[in-house]
Amino acid sequence: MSQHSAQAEWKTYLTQELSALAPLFSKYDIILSPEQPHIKGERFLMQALTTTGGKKLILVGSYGKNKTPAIIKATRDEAGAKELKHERLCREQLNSFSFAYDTFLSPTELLFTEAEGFTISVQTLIPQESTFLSRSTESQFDLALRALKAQELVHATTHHHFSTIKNTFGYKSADDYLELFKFFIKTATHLDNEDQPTADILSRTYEKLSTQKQDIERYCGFLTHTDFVPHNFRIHDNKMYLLDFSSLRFGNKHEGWARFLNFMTLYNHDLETALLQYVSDNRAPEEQVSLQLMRLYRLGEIITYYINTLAQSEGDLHTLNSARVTFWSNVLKYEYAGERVPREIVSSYKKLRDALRSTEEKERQINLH
Amino acid sequence: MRIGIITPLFPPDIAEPAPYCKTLATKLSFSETVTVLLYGSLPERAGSADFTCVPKRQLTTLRIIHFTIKLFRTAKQNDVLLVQNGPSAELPTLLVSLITTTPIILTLSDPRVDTKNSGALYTLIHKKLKARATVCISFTDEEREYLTKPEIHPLRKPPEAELRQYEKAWKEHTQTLIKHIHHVTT
Repeated sequence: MSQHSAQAEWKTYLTQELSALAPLFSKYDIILSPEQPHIKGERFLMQALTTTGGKKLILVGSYGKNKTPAIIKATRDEAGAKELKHERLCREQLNSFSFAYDTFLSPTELLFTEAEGFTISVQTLIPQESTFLSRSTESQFDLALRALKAQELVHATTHHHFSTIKNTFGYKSADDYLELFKFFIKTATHLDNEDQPTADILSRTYEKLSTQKQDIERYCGFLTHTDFVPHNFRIHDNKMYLLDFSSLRFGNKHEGWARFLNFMTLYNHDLETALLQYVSDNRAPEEQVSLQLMRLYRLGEIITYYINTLAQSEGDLHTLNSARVTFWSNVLKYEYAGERVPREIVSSYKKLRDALRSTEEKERQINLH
Repeated sequence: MRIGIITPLFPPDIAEPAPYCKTLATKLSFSETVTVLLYGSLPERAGSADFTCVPKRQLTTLRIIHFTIKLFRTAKQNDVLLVQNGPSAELPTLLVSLITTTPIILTLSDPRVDTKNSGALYTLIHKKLKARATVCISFTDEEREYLTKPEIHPLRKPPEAELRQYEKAWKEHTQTLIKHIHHVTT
């Protein structure tokens, strides 16, 4: 599907769904804000690669007679409804585990209902004094570390633990990660010949992950947020609230760390450096190895994500997504060699990205992180 | 001296007594031959200590039977057993103590295990094992704090005084343990 048709399909979907939702919103005292950041820009291209992602609307507005600021998620797509129910179940179960040593803060649920074929979930919008990235690096470090540690404190090890989680949260072993990585290589080999280096580095990474499978397996069984990035949490009163509970699963504990560190390669190099230094100073050498391997795995995943967007994008967006494949392949190349990607590569990519992003996407990015 | 450390938890497990046991195994392995018997499959390295592992992902009863069998062998192959508290380590130790003569030092390294709030069965096991152990070591809150490694924050001044206190506390703790070990094995 071309970008034009994918974008047109998304716009039609938005119009149809919003119009069908209008009477329901009126019934439940839901009022939408004029500005809706989560449905514009590149949102039409986003699709979860390895989670249960379905089609859904994420809207900003208010709920009830008191007009409580709220986030409204609505869908009549089967996979979307499944995801909303799964997220709800994860949120409920998480704080009830006997093997969790900490609790997680989440927005209060205001409404969860199924009506007229729609599944609607309404949660309080956590007020945020400032975005994560606008805080000092030290504050970002403390908040991120606290949240990453809270995830690590949920560790499923026994037969009883696994029987508790298996029907709610997914579980990934080292073998599962390797199987998924084979899919990443397969996706990359379908690229044009000019992108052969991407397939090559992915294949070499797979060899490395296979050889060091035990180093990945050692830290499996931990709760991890697979999309632990600033737009999936909000900070209020110096406390971090997790937003996307459907991205929680049991797997290698560094999966969330890796996603966060790879994100910070692009957004806050100093924070990335500080977290790596923390691991080096305070954690076992085996943890450093596992973290490095999971970073490689997550880089393979993000490269695959952008390869998959190429067929649905054209013009500037296609050029941008190709640049994203090249950029993340470069990061992978350096990380594979145990080096940090040079800052010049990051800066020139950011310059190109900012020049190619659409106005709508630029608006969507404001205060996102 | 051959020392067997018997523990319900060991890193990558996070909760106590996992970190305590890893440091203990590391420190003791500088001068003694150390084997750690643990529940788990892929423990983190600890100095030159050897590991005997009992996988956790099996039914509780099977897990405890396997642990007891391996503990029997560990008791035969070592001069002393340093047993960490907790039902899954104490029950097998109590059973093995009935058929072996290897001295036992019971260490109350897991502060979460509170016999007052545990069931009657665990209270009984703990009482019996305490009676069979040659020495029972407990910690004050302050001692526990000193034996916990202070974290190094990459963006703040290193906690040098706390790190010195930590090293000092471990030096004293291992010396005390070695003294106990020599006492119970001679």
